[in-house]
Amino acid sequence: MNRRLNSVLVSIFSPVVFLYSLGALQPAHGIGDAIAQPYDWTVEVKTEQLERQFEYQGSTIRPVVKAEVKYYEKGEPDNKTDYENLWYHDGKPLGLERKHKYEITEGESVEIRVEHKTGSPTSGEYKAAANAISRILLDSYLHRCPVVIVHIKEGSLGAISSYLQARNWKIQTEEADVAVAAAVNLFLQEGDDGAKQTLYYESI
Amino acid sequence: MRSARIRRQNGNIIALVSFMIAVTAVLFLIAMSYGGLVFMQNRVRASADEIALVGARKLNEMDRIGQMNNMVARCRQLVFSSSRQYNEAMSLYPQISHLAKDLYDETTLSAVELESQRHHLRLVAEAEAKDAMQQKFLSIMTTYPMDLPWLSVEIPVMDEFKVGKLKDVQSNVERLKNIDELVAYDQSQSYVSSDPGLKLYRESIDAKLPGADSSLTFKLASLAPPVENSVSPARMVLAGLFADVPGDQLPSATKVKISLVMSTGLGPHAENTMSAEGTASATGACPQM
Repeated sequence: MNRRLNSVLVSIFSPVVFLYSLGALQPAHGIGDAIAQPYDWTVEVKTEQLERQFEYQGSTIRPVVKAEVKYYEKGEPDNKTDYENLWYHDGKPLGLERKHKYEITEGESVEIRVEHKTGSPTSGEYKAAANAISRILLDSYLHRCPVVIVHIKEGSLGAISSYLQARNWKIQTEEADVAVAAAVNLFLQEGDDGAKQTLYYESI
Repeated sequence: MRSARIRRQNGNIIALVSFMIAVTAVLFLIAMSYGGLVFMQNRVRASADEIALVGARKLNEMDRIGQMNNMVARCRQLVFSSSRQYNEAMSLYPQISHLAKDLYDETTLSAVELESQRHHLRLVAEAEAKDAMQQKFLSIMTTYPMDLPWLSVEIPVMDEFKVGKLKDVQSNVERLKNIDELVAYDQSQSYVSSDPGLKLYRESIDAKLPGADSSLTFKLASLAPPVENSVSPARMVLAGLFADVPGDQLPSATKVKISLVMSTGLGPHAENTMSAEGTASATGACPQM
């Protein structure tokens, strides 16, 4: 009986001791932050509609929206790295200028944060943001950095979500008990504690 | 007898003075004729320059050519990057290759649309520049004709007005960096100028991408780049620097040739046609946004 009790206790506590030795259960400073912000890096997308671009008779590629993409490590928003600029017309990508290499540590998680230069973004900016989110998600995925959440500026969730859905992203409903061939999920949240939505991209 | 001699002397002086006045008048008229010729020659030259400059300013109005050049280079980088991502997804992460393919496909469509816009811009810029030159010529030509006793000037004729580029002026686009494979490929294809200073894409090239995207067109035109945020203004240049643009590349310079028929009105009739050429380069590219 004692032997059996001993083996049960060992089987229960040995993983605990092992994890403790790894430091996983050590009291962590700011653990509340880690729960509130479960990501290591932020990739910031800031959209801006540019003036006086391609202003000639018969131009079909204006207005142009520029999306500046920068990234920074959690807690260091003053230390941003200019990653790339993307240019769009009506949500269609026109160009890319890579400013820096993707140097987010492999395996670390990423938050995408969408901002707009002005308080009243245009539909072109929403479309550009939706496209930029897809591109950053793919880029991060290929660099083995999972995107855990996309924070969208207050008031923009509905528009950006609908433009994502127009780009083959689909809403994941809670009651859906059907097999979904989801290749990748996108967790959208308005602001830091606003409405949430989960989208998925079908793999086939 | 004395008075008769005095009268004869007076008559000689009058004849001499009259002769001198006549000679002076003839010399004056000859001088006026030559002066008029020189004046007209300078005026025709100035008109040709002025007309060429008006056209050159129009070519890159609102920096449309500079913007197009830059966007073509950016589109090229976008297609290359998306293609690479798609290939990587296909081989390593097939579960996400559908997303990668959709993103790649739209970039190739954008490249096709951008090329179509570049071609359209070529037509618009050329037509507007030629129209501006024509308008300027029409406003000037009516001020030329004159019919003086010693000089006759007819209406000038614009023999030639065309758009082109300047020799040895590269594109305004600085080499795009940070995608190592593309940088190496550009180097191997000599797409980037080896001139000291700014590393610019060469002018009048179609910077084809390797592999499956080699059918796409990425044409970069000659245009003066901004230097330390200073834009090169439209200016007169030597006629020898003008060159035709190959194919449907965007133009960045204009050339005008005017001729004017003049004839002298005194003495034997002499007629001459003087002509002048004006060449101007377009306003350079602005710092890009």
